[in-house]
Order: sequence, then C-alpha cells, then structure tokens
Amino acid sequence: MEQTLQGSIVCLGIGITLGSHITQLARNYIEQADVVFLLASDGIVEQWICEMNDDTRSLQYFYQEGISRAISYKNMINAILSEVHKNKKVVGVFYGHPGVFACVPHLVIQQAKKQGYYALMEAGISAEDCLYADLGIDPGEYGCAQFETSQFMICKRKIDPSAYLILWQVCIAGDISLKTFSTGIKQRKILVDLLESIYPKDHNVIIYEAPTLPIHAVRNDTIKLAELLTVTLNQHSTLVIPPSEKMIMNKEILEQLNELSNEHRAIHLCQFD
Amino acid sequence: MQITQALEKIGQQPDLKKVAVDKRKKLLEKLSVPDVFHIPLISNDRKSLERLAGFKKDIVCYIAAPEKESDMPKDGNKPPQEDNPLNEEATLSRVS
Repeated sequence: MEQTLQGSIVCLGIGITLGSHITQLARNYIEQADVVFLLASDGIVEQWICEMNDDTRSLQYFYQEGISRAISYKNMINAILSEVHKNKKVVGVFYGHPGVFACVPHLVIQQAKKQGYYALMEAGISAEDCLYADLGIDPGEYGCAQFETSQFMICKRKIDPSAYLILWQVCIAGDISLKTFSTGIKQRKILVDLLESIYPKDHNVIIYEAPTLPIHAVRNDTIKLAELLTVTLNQHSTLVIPPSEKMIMNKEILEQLNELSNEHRAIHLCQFD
Repeated sequence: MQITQALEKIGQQPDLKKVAVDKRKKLLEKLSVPDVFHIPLISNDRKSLERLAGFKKDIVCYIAAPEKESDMPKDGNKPPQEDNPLNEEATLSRVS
C-alpha cells in the first residue's frame, strides 16, 4: 500500500551501554518525536531516555510474570500503533539493535507499513556486536551459529562443533510457556544434557554479559560445560561455546575448485602466448 | 547535572576502560561530575545510583519470542503468517 497517512513509526536501537553507543541520529529522533515508547535493559538507561523527551512511555508495564510474553508483546504493538493511528510521529526505542532477537519492532513496522504509514528501522549496536569486541571473537574465523536457547532446545538442529555456538536468553532455557522470567535447574539440566551430546563435558564455555552502565565490567566467565548447571545466570547472560573440533576440509569440493583454478591459469597463459 | 548525564559523560570517555577504579575520582573531577555522585559511581553502588536516578521498578529484558515451528520459510524468506510468534494458540499449543 502506498504511504499516504501522516502518522509514522521509527524503531531504533540505543545500543547496550549508556552514553557509549547511542548515535546522534537516534538522539535526534527521540528528541523530535511526538511520543516515545521505550524498552530499555536497565532502569537507569530508561531514566536517561525519559529525560530526552517529556512524552516517553515505558513498555515495561506490559510484562507480568504468569502472563505469556506473547500477550505482552501483542499489547506493546497495539499501544505503539494506536499512537501512529492518531497521526503522531512515534519513535520506538529499544536496547541494543531493534531488529536482533526482538520481535516487537519487526512486527510494528510490518503492520504500520501494511496500514499505509511510514515505518522505518534504524540499526543500533547489539549485544552480539559487544560480544565480539569484548571476547575477541571473529565470527568469520571458524563460523558462528546462534539461537534463542529455548528454541535451540525444542527444535532439532544440526550443530557444527567446529564453529562457535551462541545461545541467547539462556536464563530462561526451556521456557515454553513464555510466562516466566527465569527457569529452574531441571530445564537447565536438559540443556546441559543436550549440549553434552555435542561437546565434551569438560569443554570450556563462556558466560558473557555486556555492561549496561559504563561503570560496569564485562562478564567474561569461562567455565566447564558441566558447571553450567550451577553457575549464576542473569536475564542478560549469554552462553558462548567455542569450537571443540577442527574444521574438516571438503576434499571433493577442493579438488573441483583446484581443477577450475588450473583451467583458468591455462587459459590465462594461452592469452599471453 | 543529573546522575544520568554524569553516566552519559562517563560513557563517552575514550580512555574509560583504561582508567583504574582508584583513578576514577580524577576522571569524575575532570568531567565536572558533582561530588555527591562520586562515591556511588566509583564503588558501582547500584542501589544508590537507582535512588539518585529516581528509579524504582525491576526491568525485564526479554523481547524475543522465537518461532517454534520447523516449517521452512516461504515467500520472501519469511515464516508463514499462521506461524506468527505472537499467535499463541497457533504456535505454542502445537509445541507442548
């Protein structure tokens, strides 16, 4: 549908660390918005954004333990869109990157566009970006797969142990109800058993937490896989599993590529004869 | 200056990660951060910081409700509409 209506929605990310990651563009959007909806990962970050625009509304109130997060997310979307429908310039502010492991901004933008409103997503620095910098990991070196932990548990995956594996939302591992903010040792045992079917029990894994305040330190705890059962996990903890096996060359493909390369060299030499 | 503005200034310091905890006071003085904020900022006293920011409630930071079906993405590399993660009945009832 062609965009004709006055209301608009821009979903943007403010990064993870207060003051360090926000862009000037994001700040301008926030300051110039008619209404700002906000989902921050730290109460002090929330307060900081509230000071940038007098009509800033926290989306935290939609969360309630015992109520499915699917319902909370749906209510967040409705709240945001209802202001767009009033032809207001609405900005959705989300921690990290608004489009990475975040369903609300994607769905708001899809629905607003479908209804004929201007809708846009602006990138932000995600926890994943911080992880690569803080842990010194290059996802291109060995490859890297990443999943939401509960989804990783309930869907059969072909995991390559010669690449990195990153599991997000590990604190709610095995939560299929979407109604809780942390799960127990029984769910975590199922996760550990699943991982031990792929990796050795004594394989080193990393618990990572990006700092939300600039005075916080990065959490970079290396533990044995089996210790995952008892380690303290927080809402923003991420599990990083380094490769446990060497990459195996695909000799058939390599031979085919070598042949092509030799042919190319022969043609190239002929051109100069 | 509010505590959030002090934190914003701190967050923009290029040398922040090099500054040892015992040298933070000098950094705060350089940034003209009011004395009243020094102790909670240096000691990373979460409760005092929250009190100074006027913040009380707990924060939830989950925003992903990933698809739990194993269907291949269809047109446009998007999952089928009926498998929308917010469609609770369509998705979760089939998982459990």
